[in-house]
Amino acid sequence: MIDVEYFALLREVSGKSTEKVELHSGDTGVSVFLRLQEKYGFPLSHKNVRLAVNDEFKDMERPLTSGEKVVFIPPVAGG
Amino acid sequence: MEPVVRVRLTDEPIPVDMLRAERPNSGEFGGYATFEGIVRNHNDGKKVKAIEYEAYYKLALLECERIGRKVALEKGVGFVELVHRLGHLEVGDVAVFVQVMSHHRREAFEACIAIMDEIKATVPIWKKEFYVSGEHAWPHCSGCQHGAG
Repeated sequence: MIDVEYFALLREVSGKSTEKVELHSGDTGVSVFLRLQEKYGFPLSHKNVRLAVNDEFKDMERPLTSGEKVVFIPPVAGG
Repeated sequence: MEPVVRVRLTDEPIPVDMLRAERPNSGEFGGYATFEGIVRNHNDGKKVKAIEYEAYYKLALLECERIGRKVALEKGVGFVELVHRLGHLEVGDVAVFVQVMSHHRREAFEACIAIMDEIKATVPIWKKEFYVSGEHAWPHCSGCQHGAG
């Protein structure tokens, strides 16, 4: 299991701020995001999402490990 | 010399006058540049009533610190302060404040611009806009198939 945290558009569309997600063999940021997108209908491509693991930016292709905190970051709009 | 970098994310109005008054006053800096980003009353042809900023707080703070330090070293400036608002803002409120001190003017101007460009590109802060029409949207979500909810 990983702990997924949602922000902004992803929080609004999923209707939740956090959730535990089961990992499948070989899961990466991309594969988990695509599964969650199918479940919730996130209206953006995984190509426009960045991955953070345990509060650090990581590549979306990085394998995920049980116990990690995972955040999918939609396009930012600070400033 | 190692630059001084101060970073803050806050739900409270940014105390711009106080921050200006509290900048270093050692006498070594001859260049001082500031930038204030202010909430506009329009965006993409829509009339904006208010906005809400939301942050992935821990990573946003780390990323602001990284940007402040990186730009300070690249531009050779001695002092950088970066404050970003979170929460509910009205039109006219200060959304972001940057102040930079350097030996000469050019580095200070350039550092302000570079810091703002990097904030907009990478810091995990999102803006929800509320329009006079009653609709709302997550603007700048260029990859999103729709932003309005």
